[in-house]
Amino acid sequence: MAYRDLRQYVSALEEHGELRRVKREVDWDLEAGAIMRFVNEKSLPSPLFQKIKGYPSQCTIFGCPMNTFGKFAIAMGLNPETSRRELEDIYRQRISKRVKPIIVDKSKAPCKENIDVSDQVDLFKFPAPMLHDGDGGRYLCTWHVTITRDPDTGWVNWGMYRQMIRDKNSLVGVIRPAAHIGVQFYRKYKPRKLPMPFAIAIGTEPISSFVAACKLPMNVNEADIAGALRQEPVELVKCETADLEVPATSEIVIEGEISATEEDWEGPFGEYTGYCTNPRDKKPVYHVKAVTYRDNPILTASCMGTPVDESDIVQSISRSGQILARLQEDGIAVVAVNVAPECIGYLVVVSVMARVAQIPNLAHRVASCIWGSAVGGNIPYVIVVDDDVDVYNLHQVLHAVVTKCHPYRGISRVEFATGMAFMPFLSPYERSQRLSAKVVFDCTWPLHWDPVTDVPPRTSFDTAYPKEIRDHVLKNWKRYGFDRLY
Amino acid sequence: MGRTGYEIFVRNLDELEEDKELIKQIRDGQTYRTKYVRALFSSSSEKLPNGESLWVRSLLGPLLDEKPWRIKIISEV
Repeated sequence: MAYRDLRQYVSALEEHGELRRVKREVDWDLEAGAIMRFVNEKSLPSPLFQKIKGYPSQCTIFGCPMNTFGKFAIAMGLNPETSRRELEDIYRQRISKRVKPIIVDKSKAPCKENIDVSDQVDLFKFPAPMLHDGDGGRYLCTWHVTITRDPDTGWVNWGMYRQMIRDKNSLVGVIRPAAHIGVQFYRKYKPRKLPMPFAIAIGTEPISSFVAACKLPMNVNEADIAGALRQEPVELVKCETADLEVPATSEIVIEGEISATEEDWEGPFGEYTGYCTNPRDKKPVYHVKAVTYRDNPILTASCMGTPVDESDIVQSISRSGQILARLQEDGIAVVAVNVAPECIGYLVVVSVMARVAQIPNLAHRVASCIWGSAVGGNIPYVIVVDDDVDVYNLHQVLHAVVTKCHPYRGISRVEFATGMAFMPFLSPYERSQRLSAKVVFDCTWPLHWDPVTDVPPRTSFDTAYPKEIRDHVLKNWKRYGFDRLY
Repeated sequence: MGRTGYEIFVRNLDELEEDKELIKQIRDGQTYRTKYVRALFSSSSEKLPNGESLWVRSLLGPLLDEKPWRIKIISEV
């Protein structure tokens, strides 16, 4: 049974030992961010800050909401020990059965317990943290759902795009032209000089926020996907001032309009890449018309930086599954795909049955398929390995790179690719123009090598000893004096 | 935990021409609330003895000068 709201999810994390209630007073100015950053870098339980300096006790911050695969499994109602592969299989199975949301009455929507409109709006009411030293401001929206509608087709997009407080009744945030919100804003609203209505739902049940952060195809209603993953419809409620609907159990909902003309300084911000690459710049202003919130609202916060944090978990689960499906549709003999969480969504490892497929330069075919897709188009690094490599084991993957990828013939670079402004390896000019390059590492034995006389035999426990010897050794492991099988 | 005084983000220190009234956005070093001001800027406290502390950051966030500059706010814009 799906979690109805964030609070049920928080309780579930606590039952599994994945939550720590921080009762000591914590400063929203850098201290909370530093704690969250440390938690992420050590993959520790999520902190629920119950006493924020300068704020009443009713205001809390829930940090690191989904920074491990175990927490994602809990969010999906699964055992936290569920393997990566199984999580991705379940993810793909569930999203194939879309479940439309249902609209509930305002009286049944906890997010309407408090309603501030017009002059009553004060975004400083919530303990928005200063997450990193040098950030451009207090980022209220780092783990949330930003909801906007296409004015012509009616398609409603859910996305996750950072927004910082500009003043008591406005935000300012990044709208990348290539992002779905950017497609709506820059191609539809801005040319027509129309403000774009928005709603930001903070502190939703865990799957809605997860889905908002996923890279899904255009014109897909993420609410349907959230319902699919939850295996129950998401409950939505109409906004007070915008023609949009928001998850009814959200902790905080911010409604308003994104100005088609007004911009103000935003950033910098320590981003998911682990670096701060985008200089402070002018970004669109979000004018807030209403804020609704639950009693004792919980503000969710994701303190991005060096992996692994929420961004990496989302990219890994959602992209791995989609890329696997894409390769299978193309008839490629793919075994497994890993968008490695340690690599911030910029590297994908694909294992293939190269000898079975008998397709020369299969690695290039794999890379072309990935780069030609929306989900993989901006992944700069593709590593293709044989099917005897576990793609989830980066030790094995690195071993394959240094032993099977010819340093000259095995590496193919592609110039003139589309990049992202966040990519640290790009020059400042390249980032501003989103110019990048891509590379594929072919770590498969060449097809024309004879498998017996040319391909070197592997020297490992599994390959260098007869089965009888391996079984004998494992059976007697403790008798040799070892404590356990590692 | 913030700094006393104000903060400003600039591309480089040349942007803060000394002894010249400039209109810039600054922010409070502790509340982080921003405002646009007409002000005088100086790298030396002797030149602006009545000025307040101003921490100068690059557009990417790090401090450009370990010591604070001085700002004399003439008016809010």
